[in-house]
Amino acid sequence: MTDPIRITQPLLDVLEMLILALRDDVDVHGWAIMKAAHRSGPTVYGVLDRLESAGWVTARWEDVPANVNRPRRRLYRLTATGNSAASKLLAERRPSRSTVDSPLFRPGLLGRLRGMPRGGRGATT
Amino acid sequence: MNLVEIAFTVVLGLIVNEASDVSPRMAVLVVRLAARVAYTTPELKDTRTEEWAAIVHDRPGKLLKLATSLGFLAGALLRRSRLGMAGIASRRLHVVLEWVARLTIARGRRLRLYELLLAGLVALGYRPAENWLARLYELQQRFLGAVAIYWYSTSRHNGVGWLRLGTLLEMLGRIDDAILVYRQATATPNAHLARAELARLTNERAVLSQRDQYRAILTPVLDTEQALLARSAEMLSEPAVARIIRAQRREGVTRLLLGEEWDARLHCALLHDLDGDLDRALAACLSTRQDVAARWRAYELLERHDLIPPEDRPLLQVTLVPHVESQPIPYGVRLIHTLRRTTARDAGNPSGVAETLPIHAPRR
Repeated sequence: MTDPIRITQPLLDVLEMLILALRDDVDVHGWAIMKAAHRSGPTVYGVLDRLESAGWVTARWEDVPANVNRPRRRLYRLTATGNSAASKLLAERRPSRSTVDSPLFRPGLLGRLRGMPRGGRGATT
Repeated sequence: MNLVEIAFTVVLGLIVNEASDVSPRMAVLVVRLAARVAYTTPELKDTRTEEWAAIVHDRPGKLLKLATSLGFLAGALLRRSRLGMAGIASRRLHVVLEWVARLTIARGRRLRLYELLLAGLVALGYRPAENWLARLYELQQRFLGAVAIYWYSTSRHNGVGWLRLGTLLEMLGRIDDAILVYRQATATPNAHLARAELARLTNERAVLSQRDQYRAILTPVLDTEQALLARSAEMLSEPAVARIIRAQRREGVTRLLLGEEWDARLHCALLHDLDGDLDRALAACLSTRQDVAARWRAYELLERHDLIPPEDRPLLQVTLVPHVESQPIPYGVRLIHTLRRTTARDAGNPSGVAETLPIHAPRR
């Protein structure tokens, strides 16, 4: 596994979001990350590209029943190595920002997260 | 309302209605195009097409779907253009550099004012694009050449421009040209920096005094510190909310600069000590936020000047040993060894080993 080369603020925002989702055993899709991290689509997907190529994040397609006619979402989750590396990175770069203080813990955003599919179950929200 | 107006209204209504009905389908086509533009590998193109189509599908309203897809397309175009622009900038930059080099360095003469202005204007054109792209992509993009020439054109008087240009030429592998530039810079107020660079390039480090070497290392750090202080003052003059927002945005940079601040102050202390100004050296040490490291350095200074009272030495030793053991910083270890030796000497044990030491209560 190789580390993501560039450590940027969007990358840290996305990692915070993914750690929180992992803690809740939730897989998140791109739009949820964009909303929670307050970052634009190109920025978030640029970060996800880097994280995926570095092996920090794994992605899978959600399971959509055959009778549901809509595109599948792609769900992201931190890997074990990604989780430890991301926690270490956040502790170094944002030591003063506790998880509770994180903007991701705003009720609305957390509520959105909690409504998302759980890992391994492939929900169809 | 005449017949034409009625017909126009009806047709317009139909167009708007049709457009809004078609827009979800158009949105899917647009995200497909965006994925094709943004990525080069076929697998990733297909993945992102479906993924972004799902995002568009989740957006409420027909027009909002289209707007979201257009956002993806804009991002993709910018991503592609960033790659293209970087290449173009690089090629243009080489042309500019060649031009500057041909006019000045190759002939071994100094730049004239109009040449500086021209180079500065060319360089200025790069800066807005650079800043805009950096903000957009959160990249640390530095078109080094443009910045160097910009400095070259605007900072001639203090020699910083010469130094930047020398660095650039060095990076481009033109060592002889870089040496020429640094030699020109020795005629500026920043001569000590130029001499340091010259010594590095020509392996003549021995010609520099230790103080010059420290100054050469220290000056950029102090520049950074002054920039930090200036920015702090600027932020303090703003309304509280704006200040917080700015602080959040600049968190990374500020943290980096704060990380360098204490180091700069400790270097300051070293410089003051070299100048024989112990008071200022101590003040620089104790003004840092890194308590332990700074106090070790301060104690080391005091010890070197034999200014630590004998009765305080055991206390210092007992206080500092746990820190030294947990963070074996060299000057902390040195200080502890010195303290042990002097304490043992004071206790009448010239072997320099003090087994047990009396612990004094801290003096208030």
